[in-house]
Amino acid sequence: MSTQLTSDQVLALAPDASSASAGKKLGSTKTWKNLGQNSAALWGECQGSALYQVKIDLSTLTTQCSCPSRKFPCKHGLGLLFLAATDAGAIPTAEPPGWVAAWLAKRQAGSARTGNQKQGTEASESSERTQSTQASQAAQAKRVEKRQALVLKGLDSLDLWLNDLVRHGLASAQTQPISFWESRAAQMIDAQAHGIAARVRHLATIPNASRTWPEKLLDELGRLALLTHAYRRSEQLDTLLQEDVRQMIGWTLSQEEVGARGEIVSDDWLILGQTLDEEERVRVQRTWLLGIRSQRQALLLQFSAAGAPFPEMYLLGSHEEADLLFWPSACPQRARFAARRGASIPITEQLPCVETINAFLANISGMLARQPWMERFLCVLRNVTPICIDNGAAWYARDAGGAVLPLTKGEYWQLLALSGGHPVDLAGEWDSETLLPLGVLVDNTYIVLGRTLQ
Amino acid sequence: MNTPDIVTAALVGTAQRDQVDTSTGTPVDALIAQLPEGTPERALLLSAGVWATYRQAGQATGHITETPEPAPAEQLAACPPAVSRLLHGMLLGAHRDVLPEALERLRVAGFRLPFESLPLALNIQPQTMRSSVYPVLGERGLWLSRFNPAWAWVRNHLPAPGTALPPDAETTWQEGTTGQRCEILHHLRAIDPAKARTWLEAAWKQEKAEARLELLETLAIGLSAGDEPFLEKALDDRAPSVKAAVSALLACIPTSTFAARMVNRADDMLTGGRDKLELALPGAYDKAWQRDGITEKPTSSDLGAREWWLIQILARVPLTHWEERFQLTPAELIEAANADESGNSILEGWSRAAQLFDAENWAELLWDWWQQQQQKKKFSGTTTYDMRNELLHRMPPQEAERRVRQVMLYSDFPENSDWDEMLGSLPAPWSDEFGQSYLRVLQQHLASLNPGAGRYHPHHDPWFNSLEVAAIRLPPSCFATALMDWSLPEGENWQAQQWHSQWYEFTETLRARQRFMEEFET
Repeated sequence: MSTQLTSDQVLALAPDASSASAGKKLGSTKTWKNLGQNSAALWGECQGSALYQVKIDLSTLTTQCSCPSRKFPCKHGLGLLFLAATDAGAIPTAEPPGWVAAWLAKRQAGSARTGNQKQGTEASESSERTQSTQASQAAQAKRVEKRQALVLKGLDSLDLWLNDLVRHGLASAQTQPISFWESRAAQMIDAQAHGIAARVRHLATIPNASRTWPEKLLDELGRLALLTHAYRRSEQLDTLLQEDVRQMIGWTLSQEEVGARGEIVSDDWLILGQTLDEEERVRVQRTWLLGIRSQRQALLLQFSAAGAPFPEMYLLGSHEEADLLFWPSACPQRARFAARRGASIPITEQLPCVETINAFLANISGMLARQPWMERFLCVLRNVTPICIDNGAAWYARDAGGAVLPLTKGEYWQLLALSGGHPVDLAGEWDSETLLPLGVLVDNTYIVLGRTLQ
Repeated sequence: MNTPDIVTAALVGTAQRDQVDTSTGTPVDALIAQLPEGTPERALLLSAGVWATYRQAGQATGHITETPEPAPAEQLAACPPAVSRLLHGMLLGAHRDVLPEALERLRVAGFRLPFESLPLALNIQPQTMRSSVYPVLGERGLWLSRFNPAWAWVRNHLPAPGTALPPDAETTWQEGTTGQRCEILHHLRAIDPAKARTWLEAAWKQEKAEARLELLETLAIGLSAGDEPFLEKALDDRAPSVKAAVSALLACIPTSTFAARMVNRADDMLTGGRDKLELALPGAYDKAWQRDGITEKPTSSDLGAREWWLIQILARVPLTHWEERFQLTPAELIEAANADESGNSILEGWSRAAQLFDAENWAELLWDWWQQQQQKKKFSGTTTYDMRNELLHRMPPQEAERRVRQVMLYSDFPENSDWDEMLGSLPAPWSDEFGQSYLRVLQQHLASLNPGAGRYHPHHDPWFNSLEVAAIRLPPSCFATALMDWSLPEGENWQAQQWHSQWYEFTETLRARQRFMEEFET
């Protein structure tokens, strides 16, 4: 098998802890029949309450199982992955049986189709356009115009509300009930400015949360004001920054629009780590990538509502040759896979790092100069020492010169164990205040942190 | 830093002031001056936005000048990656039963735990596992434990008996938990028995009965005549459990006056010459006995009081005493006692003595005698079982295995019905010979099993229950046989299903052990 899976990586693919432990139980040859693998796939039949056929596409680790479970991957899929991780020798190399071959062929045809579509987006779109009636184009333009009016009206009322807040003083904000913020966020949803709504909702969490809350609340209100200011004067901005501002307001881009206006970057991409947040019953997964040659960072965002699985799987701690498609932006960060070409290979070599914390912060300034509303950044530091203070109450990453970044509130014993007080290459997510460690390279092994399920 | 004017203005509200000062005290102010005229509120908000970005972009780092000493270089080797993965999985909970064996193997092979597993290992539960974890922590583990108060046990953990005490031992002895204090005392007792006794004696009066009992057990190490005065005083303890433990220790000091008192009492009851054993059961309870831990009331209702006194006295007299006194071998003595009508009590007393004085040769013979009693239904099952099990611990492994094997072979005899519990008394791992015969008889049992029939209940089947112990104790040489394709009971009934799932657990545990061993060999 070209991919050297580890149990930890499989654990990270599990949708929840119970699937992980059920999968682990199934990860033995005893439960499997007709096991096999080739360079493209892994398959087997698992005896549960019925005989289930499990197949795994190795290029994307997409699993498919004939069981009725709605979890994804299901325990059978995880079981087969665990088996591959712990006892790869038990799975013989073979020709795929009919049910696997048919699925693979269908998948390849499917990815070729979407590939062609991507390449020919402009051509097909233009031909579609000529075919489409003038009427529907006009209708489309009218819809956009109507929405634009709605958004502007919404922003006007938001600005009045912001002014009111400042006129009466932020001190009064600390006594406001949550509905004060929520109803304003709801109005922004009605105005079809979802991005603004999310920012307003976030405001509710600031008052009284820290000693410096007035300053933090003022910061966020100020950023909001700058955003509405920028939106109204879009035409004065650089075209790419216009894209950012529109996206931040809530004008989401369709796949076609991203394809047409975004940028493709081919590189060997390191998949360094992942975070998971829950906002309004929607799970938001952020996966951080770094290009070995381009040294560019990429953020893959996936959303899942009501416990649905995330559409794509990423093997953390590996790297692969791929094309990433970046959303149009003055400082491109959000991206998705456009084409995945190579096998995923475990990360074993030095990461492309910045050498000092000050150099990292200087890079951040550069990015903010291009896109001032950015909040989160990938941070990959060379030779930093994790420091634990006051029995684990405070944690820092310290570079050779003694400069430190505070780590996000939490405990990082595994990181400390791996470093042993020696410098390591550390990847993390910088939220402009604290660093959340994602992975660490020690003795030529990249270890993904914080995904240990109990 | 003072609160900048802009924050004050925003907190108070622009309505409260005629002139709003939005200065931030940074170069941002010059930039703001270029903004178009607007309401003071809007001007303040836009300034705040620029100021926020200015600070975000111009963040200065903190500094830490002193860093803790890094972990020293490892003395032990890193284990192979596959072993690391298996161990990490076990620490996370997979095949937890195999963990003690795996850690031991790691230790013997001179490896240490992988760094990434150290936090899991340091948090290990139950605490009894700590002594298995300690030797494989490596320098990194010792270093890491210093940062987390929950891992202070490492510092207090005593490495190997016989090595010097840790520097803060006396503090731990004064302030530690009972467990820690026992550990310290245990350790000190091996180096300096007299000092350990002095420590214990000084603390003795303030301790609760439970702690007294636990601490007292450490005196079994390096027990000598020097301990007699303290123990003789401790014999007046009010807690019956402590008194019993003290009397057992005193009995093990051959020169003690306690031992002499017991021998004198026993000699009065058991008399006779070379070929005859005469028993005179005590007529009345002697009040002096009470101090020596001999209780008046029998613990079991089917035991006469006089027999009970005899049993307790014999239990505190070394068996060699009888061999010398009557010039008989253990076998001859047992035969002579068996001939007497109250012989059962003598043999029970001797069996207890065999346990206290660790008499290997007696343990085997006495076990055989108890096994016969079980067949004759002379004793209630529990007593026999307890005695047999205790005596198994006192025999050499091959003798113990030989006896359990006999019982296992005839497991359908009613007197052998609880044989599966004896498996736990055999040392691990089993010998190849025992393991193979276990598997052979298991196979026969499975072939004859008809789980759907009658009132068969797997949990009442010793074979079913034995699999759990066998999975951990079968030796590696038996793995191949155990992991062959066995024919298990078939059928839709739940009993067969249970067998299948129990069998699955059994083979999975064996596979985990097998995989672990294979990784060590390559």
